[in-house]
Amino acid sequence: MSGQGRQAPPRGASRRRFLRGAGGLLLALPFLEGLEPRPVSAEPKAPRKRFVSLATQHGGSLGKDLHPPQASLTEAKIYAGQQVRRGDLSLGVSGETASLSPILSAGANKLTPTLVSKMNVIRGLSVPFYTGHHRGGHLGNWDIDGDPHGFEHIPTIDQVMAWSPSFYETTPLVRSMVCANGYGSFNWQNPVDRTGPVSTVAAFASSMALFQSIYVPPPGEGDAPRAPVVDRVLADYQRLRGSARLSGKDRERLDAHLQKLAELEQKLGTVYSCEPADPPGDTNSLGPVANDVAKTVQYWKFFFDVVAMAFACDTSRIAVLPLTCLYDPSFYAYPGGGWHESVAHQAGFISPHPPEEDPSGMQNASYRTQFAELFLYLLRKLDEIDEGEGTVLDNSLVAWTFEAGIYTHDSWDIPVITAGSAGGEIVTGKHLDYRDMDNRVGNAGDVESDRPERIYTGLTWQQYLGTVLQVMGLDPGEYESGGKGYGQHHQQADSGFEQHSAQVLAAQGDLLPLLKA
Amino acid sequence: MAAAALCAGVVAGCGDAPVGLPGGAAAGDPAGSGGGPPAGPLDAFACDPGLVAPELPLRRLSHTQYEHAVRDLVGVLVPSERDVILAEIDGALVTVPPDTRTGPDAKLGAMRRLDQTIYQETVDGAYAVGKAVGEAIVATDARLEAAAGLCATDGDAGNDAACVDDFIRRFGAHALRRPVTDEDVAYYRDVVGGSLERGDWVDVVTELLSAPWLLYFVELGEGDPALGPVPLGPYELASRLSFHFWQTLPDAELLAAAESGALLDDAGYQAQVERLYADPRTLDALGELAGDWLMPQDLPDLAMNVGTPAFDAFRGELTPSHELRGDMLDELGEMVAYYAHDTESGFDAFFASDRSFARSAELAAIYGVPRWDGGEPPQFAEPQRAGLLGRAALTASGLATTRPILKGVFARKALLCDRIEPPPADAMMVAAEAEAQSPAASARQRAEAISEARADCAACHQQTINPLGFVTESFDGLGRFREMETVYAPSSGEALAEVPVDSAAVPRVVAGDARPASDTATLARYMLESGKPQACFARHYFRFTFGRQEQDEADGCTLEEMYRGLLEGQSFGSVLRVLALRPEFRRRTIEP
Repeated sequence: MSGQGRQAPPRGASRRRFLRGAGGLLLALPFLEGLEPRPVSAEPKAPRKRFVSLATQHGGSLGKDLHPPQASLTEAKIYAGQQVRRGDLSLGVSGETASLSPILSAGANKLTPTLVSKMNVIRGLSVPFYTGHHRGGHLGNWDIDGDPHGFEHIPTIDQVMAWSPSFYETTPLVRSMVCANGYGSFNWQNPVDRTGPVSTVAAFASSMALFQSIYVPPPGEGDAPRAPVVDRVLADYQRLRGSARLSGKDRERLDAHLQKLAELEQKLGTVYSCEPADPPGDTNSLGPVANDVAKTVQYWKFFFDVVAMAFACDTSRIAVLPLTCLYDPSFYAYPGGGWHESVAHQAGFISPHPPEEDPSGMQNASYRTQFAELFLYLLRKLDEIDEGEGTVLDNSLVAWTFEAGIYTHDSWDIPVITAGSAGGEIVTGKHLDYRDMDNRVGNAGDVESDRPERIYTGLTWQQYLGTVLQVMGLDPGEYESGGKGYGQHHQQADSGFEQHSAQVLAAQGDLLPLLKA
Repeated sequence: MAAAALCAGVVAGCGDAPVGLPGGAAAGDPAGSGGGPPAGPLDAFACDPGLVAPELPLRRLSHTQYEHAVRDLVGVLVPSERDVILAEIDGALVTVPPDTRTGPDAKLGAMRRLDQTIYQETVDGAYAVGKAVGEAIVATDARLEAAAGLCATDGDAGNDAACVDDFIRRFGAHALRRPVTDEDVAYYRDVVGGSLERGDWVDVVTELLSAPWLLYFVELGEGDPALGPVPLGPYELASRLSFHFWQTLPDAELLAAAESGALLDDAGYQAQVERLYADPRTLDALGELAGDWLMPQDLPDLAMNVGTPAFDAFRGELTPSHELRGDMLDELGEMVAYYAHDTESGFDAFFASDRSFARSAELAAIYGVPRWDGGEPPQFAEPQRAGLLGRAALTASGLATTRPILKGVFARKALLCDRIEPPPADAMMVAAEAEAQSPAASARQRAEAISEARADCAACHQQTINPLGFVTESFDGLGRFREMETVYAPSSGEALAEVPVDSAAVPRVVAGDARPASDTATLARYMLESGKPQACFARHYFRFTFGRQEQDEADGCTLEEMYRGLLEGQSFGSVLRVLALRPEFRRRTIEP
């Protein structure tokens, strides 16, 4: 190699020539219409909002264990033909332990009045049809491959907001940080034009893989960053796309790849500002974590550290973290094995077992660990990042949801624990109860010998999901399809929809009541 | 990439749907009626040569295939420092997402090769890997010289253009898996500016390693697509064969066969199929096939419960290691390799095998046999263990107890390809009551109590699911043979009861078959007689080969040939090769 030029055109000239040609080509192709500049508001939305989904499998925690006392519900109003209630979260402190409820308790140095003032505890939200097990239902997709519930996959709300120009004004390095085992997030193959099959979004299998994708080290002194060649790669795919010997479906696949190259090009063309950062802990270094509470907690903390870093650098604004699995007693040192059958599916019921083997007690303890060691850890991390007008936590909506309601497999009265006001969009420090206490669910949950709490209808999960999208800045017109709110609107003969009033179903497109700031 | 997978799977359950027979027939079909097994082979598939199945469009390399291709391409660039460079680019490689096991059932029998999603991270990762490889080869003069020749570092500007062009032709032929055209050279050289800089080499490598001809099977075929399926070109065939059998790039001999045209000749093609299959590199693909097909949904780290009272009391002197789970799963791959590759035995011999393929001393001790060293595999001490379902990987739970229901679900779905409806909404709500009534009950008794507590569960569990699991109850939660089962109190480890193992059941492999079985050897025989495992495996291998789910009618000829071969005792390996010899493997349909 030498410093002498060869006959090839100068690099800069070559690149400029290409861009002119490629630009014309891009605009000429129908598939790339979605890549044209989208209308965005003239002024960037401020503050920058973030969304975090923490998802716990099963459920099966009774109201008395998870929720603050009913006596704290001091306000009430009639909404959609039923009463809804609200009160202030009241932190009880006993010795070194602070508590909102038996499960929502932690050391007083962790569960502080400041954090409580930024939280909400919500109940009375239901998926109005049978779901059994699912992974994506937390965020709106209840379909499971191989389990014929009769649903089609739909995108989850993290992806809906991730691809909305109302949420991201510029292309982030990672639109939604799906962590660990996947199955929490779903989207179209071609999100820009919403075509192709809907399938799982790839998850970052380790904290290091996520870090590699969200962190851009600041340029060193004297470094002249070299221009990416994504445009050249993109043109290479266009070269192939012109072949007459490709089938129409081949071209559709190429178009999907091209859309992703265009996304990559936009990402690499965006300048990010990050402080120098030490690499985070690597989840792969922990080895097997199943049934090891300390390792499992550390595993998620490693991910949380990277999520907080991405939020601080603004290389991503969404994170999806499925905390637990079906079979592992990840957050409780279960002595007997068989957590899935012996604990997770029996929690909530009156136990015939001795106290030390009470499934509810063990499962509640595992949830308490998730709350004290993980949920609050993440809140503290986000609250430490000052953004001028508030902290990252203030500008976020962190939502911790459960797979089921107070009885496992059952989708009535699913708890939601939130933190952050989404940049002042919602009130915080509240206990909210949307159950319709005049409308008991008849076909499941009647108080029987082994079922200590009754179940009531309330507002729908579709309304909750729509609320999240709205407070993140999306207009219902961007996401509503086939019904109000967001999510599948399955109409089975024995559907729980029938047990909700027409007024409740009509209100699904609203922001949840008593929540607007 | 080392994925720290946390989750196991979803719960299968009960229902009262009829059990499907191969080919989509339902229980109650005359083939299974009358109280006995079918008189002869089932007509599992029907062949209509006039039907052409829709093909998978622009198939992408699986994650494994991509990683192997990158490994081998780095070896082409800098052979002496391949592993060093691979370590250097690991930070980029880990960002390429692994494939998700995909199939008609998301957990059982699902295969990574069926995941054809084009993830954003796949695209981003491939670009990052290309850039990282490029940066690695320009890191030293020695590497750059190894990759591009002395012309890359000799300071002679006069040979720069030729140097780049030559590199694109040589390396491009490997990366693109076809001859590099003048148009290609002109295209890839265009990133080079006025003076050749090291960064230009990075750009060229980045482009080549991001090219569609690397990441996808670009198959344009030869001939007029309007007239029907077109034969693949020789280099396209070479890629299909190589990635199918070896999970990586064609080697020099295969490329030479493509170049000479020998691959387009039936004899030449068959010779290459035989050569590739006989090569040890095929074992990697067979391992993936076995791993995906036979992966149980609930086999945990077997050391997970060490230190808990019940498990410690149960395991006695055996302290399972964290490696034991992998050893058990590896044995399944070793089995497939032995019967399908090393010995050319029939499928029956594999499915009913009474030999141990335990490579580790720990697993061999569980079987009570010497460790297998690759020679003649030792015979099990207990004849009851013979048959695929007696393997530790498919019986162990990692618990002080067993999971007969989940074992039954596995056998029904993964080995017989039967469909099981999901459980009713509140199916598990009977467990506490059933357990409370008999805390000292055996695993089988508990499963029976749970299943019988509700009429809407009982039919499916009693007829379809549980018996298959009960027959395997002669093996405990670590896969050890047992005649007695001790029931432990979870919190204290106290032995509550010791009961004789009851593994007798009527497995009803096909509807109406009332013959009892009490060991996996007999169960394997019943299954093989039914033809269902053979038909089921034909489906799995079809998916593994073509990366898509089969269509019973349009793919009937391919499935039927495999099924017949398995049923009639052709060697397991020859049946695997049959698919590569079929016209469907060597052609494609190009629809407008």
